Amino acid sequence: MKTADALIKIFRSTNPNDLIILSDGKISTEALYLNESQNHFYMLGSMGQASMIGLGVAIGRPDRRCIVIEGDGNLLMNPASMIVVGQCKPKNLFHIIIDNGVYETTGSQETITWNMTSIAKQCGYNSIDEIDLKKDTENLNVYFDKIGPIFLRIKVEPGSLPNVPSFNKAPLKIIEDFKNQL
Amino acid sequence: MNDNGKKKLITSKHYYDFLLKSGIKFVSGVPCSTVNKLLHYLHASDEIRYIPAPREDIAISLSFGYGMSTGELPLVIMQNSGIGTSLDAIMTEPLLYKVPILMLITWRGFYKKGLNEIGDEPQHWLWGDVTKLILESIGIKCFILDSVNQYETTKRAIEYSKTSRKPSALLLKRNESIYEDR
Repeated sequence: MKTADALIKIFRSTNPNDLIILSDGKISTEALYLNESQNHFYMLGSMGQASMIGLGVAIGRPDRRCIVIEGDGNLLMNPASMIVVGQCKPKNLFHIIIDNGVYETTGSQETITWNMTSIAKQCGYNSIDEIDLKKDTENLNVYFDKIGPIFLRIKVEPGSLPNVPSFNKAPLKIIEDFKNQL
Repeated sequence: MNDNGKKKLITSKHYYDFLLKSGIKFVSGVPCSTVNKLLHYLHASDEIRYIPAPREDIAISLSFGYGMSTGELPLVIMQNSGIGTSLDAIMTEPLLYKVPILMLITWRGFYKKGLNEIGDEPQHWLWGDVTKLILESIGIKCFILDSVNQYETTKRAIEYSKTSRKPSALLLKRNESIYEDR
């Protein structure tokens, strides 16, 4: 069970009415390949800022669920983001960490291992869960039915999909599509 | 409009009211003493949502997310040293996706204590020298906020950002503050 499996599982539990923010690197690249969608905002840089962009979106559109998907390396770059989410407490924000323990995009260098879940508790998320995709086969609907802000750590193994073309959606097309479905 | 070109200081409350009237509903930033009172008004406001950010790149990202989901123009407030912290976010969020953001940046170190009669301490000097250069080098238009035409200058920056879909920077020199009650 790898990042792509987690993405597939998340996309099965979400719908076109959700606003989904995908972090830069392999997460955006694989998400685009697996399931390109207008309501998916693909980040192309600004590592560590996915949940902060998502929080801005969640505040701007309180009528829609905002789902942030980033890797453990992304969160490691900006753990202060968890404090800001906990302060603002948006009911419609779902913060998902796909934790494979490596920087997949740059060649699987190990990340620092840390107890992000216990820090999320300190920061004031409304609900904090951790699942291991290898063992837990249930669908994710139960987490998306909760009241936010939600922190969900999904543990997966390192590794990416073979033969995925490099990211090929232009930034202005990404933003145009995203705005059109608002 | 002050037609004789003379200095006309305003209170922070006047500027706050002006921002509100100009349609600013979302502000995020990191404090600078130059805008101390203005930040207090924003904190206390029921009409403008102000989110204090731990870092300037977070303020950019929150505003970017809010702006792209609402179509409104958000405001980021920071000291010029925050340009260093937020440069990657500025370049790969509002500049890359063409989402307008208004920035109010305090220009510390323009005047240098010891070299000029008035001025800032040495830690601000290098930033004072490169503030406008760095912003302009990445394509951000700068508007110098002085005590003669503070409202007109702000209006021009807002108009520029909205029509060009680019960030713009209002630069406020500490020793030429437009606020009598800073």
